[in-house]
Amino acid sequence: MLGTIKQLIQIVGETNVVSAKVDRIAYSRDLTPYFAVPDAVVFPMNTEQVVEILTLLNEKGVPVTPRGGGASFQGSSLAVKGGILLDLSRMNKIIEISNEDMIAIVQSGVRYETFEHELEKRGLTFPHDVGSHDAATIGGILASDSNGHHAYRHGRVGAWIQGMEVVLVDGTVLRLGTRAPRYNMGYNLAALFAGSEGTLGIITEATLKLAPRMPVEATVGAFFKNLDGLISASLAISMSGIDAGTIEATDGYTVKTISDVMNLGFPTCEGNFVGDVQGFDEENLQRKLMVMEKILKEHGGENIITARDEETTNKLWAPRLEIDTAIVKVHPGYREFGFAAADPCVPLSKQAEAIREIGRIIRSHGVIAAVFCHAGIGIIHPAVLIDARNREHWVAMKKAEQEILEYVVSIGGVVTAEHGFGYVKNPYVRMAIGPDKLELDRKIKKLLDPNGILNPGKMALDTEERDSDVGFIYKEYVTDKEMTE
Amino acid sequence: MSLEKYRHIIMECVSCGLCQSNCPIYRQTNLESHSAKGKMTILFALLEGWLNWDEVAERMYECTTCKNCQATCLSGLDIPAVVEAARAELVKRGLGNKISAQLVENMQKTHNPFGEDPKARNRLKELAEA
Repeated sequence: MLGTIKQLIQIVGETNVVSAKVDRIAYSRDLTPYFAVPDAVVFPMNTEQVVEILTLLNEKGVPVTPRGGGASFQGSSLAVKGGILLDLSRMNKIIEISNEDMIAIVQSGVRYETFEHELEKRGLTFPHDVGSHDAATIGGILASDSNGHHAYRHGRVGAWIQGMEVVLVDGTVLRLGTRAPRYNMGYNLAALFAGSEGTLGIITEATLKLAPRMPVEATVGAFFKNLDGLISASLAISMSGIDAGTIEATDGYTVKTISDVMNLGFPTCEGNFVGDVQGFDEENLQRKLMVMEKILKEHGGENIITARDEETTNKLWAPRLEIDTAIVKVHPGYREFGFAAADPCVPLSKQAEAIREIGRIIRSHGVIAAVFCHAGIGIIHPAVLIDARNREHWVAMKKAEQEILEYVVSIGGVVTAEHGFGYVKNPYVRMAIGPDKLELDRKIKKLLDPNGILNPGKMALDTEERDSDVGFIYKEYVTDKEMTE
Repeated sequence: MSLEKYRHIIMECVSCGLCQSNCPIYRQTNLESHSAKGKMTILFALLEGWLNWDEVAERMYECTTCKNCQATCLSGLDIPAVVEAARAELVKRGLGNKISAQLVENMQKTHNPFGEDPKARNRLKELAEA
């Protein structure tokens, strides 16, 4: 490895290669329970350097794990097989923002909110409102084909890729798409690389479609005695055509915990609704708000609050965003970890049932459940809140994980719709996509990365196991092997 | 070990990385060991015995304790207090900040922290008056 590191220094310079143990350890964690230390961290500054790095590492068969902000919930950017962690965060130039073509060309290390601030100055937006904010890079967002809070209105990020530059392991630089808004020229490879989690190539640059920034906006909150009313209201809002930005649901336990801790005075409910709506002028916004509030009332929504200022908006979003803060106050030492059942998706008609059942499954194992739902698009985010020093809680989390995923599949849902497979879902990939697609995925991987150096250990492309090649933050963690013993 | 008292904060860090964006040091370097998230991982490794005190010293001093990380943290974790506890322990172990020691020495010898010739200030005064 020492010889390889010397060669990498020749490519990117000494300041762009990190091999001190203390610095490598800083890259060993994400939001999962795992701990995986790379042999070195390398920062390319341009595409040409990425070409040289990949060519070298491919020849030597050294694993290379690409990383953006390192904010994965699924271990996607952990160097579980060691080797080189390719940190793209220093390739962070916004190359161009064009109002005329409604596009931006950015390097993959550009941070999401930093990018948004620049777009805001020009009346534009890359509108997904990614939950990890400035911790996320554009490259990471594209490589995981994220959704974001505004995916209800704008869909997955992948659909907003107009062009992409990708470096393959053999040094080939693929340029997919152009400034022109549409193309239909053979296989849509940009769609293949989006969500590939860096297992097929390294995204170095992207040409992104942009949307106009709507000048006026409001957030609406409501409380429902039962979740069925909340979900039917969400469907009615979708059918009304008012084109809300987002529609979110939070379970009653979470609402109560946050209300108590933050002294918000929210009423007791089975579910809390929060949505936002944008308008091209005040009159347009007011008409949309009138329709939304009427629908919420008709379906049993109570204590309806419309926020136009930051303080009230934050209060309304608190149940959705503040559980990690609140739970520590009520149960010191408890926290959430990235686990395999963190982002399933269910048919829209099954959302209320699924929120209830998933919460019940988690609680049945003696740990705390907080359940959220992107109500317009069926994605459910269960959080299992555990005392990580309690071995039984890890067992509970793993049992709940399996039961949730089996339940979701049984009602016509899917295992993952937002975070991707990463490392955490390795044991569930076969169940999720079936043997035929898994075999095809592996053939695609073999075609583009014959030596298997790109982000190994992920998406069940080379192993269907987890826990066997990493360390753990908590010694109480219970491995999959221990679960079967 | 006094840092042990802060283990709960170190363990409560979920490594979400929201602290990176407001860290004046991390924004200059994009080096994770300069971010609050990275520092919590380093100190976790230290408490577990995977790193030694002399290995972490330099990174612990590379922090302005501006509290931007605490303000950004979803859980409001008091990261600067942890960093300061680590520094206190470093000093006890004879691993004080070399730059601070140099500043003190400069003050004693030249009456300014930069170690510059005090006469230079008089020359500037004269130039200004002229």
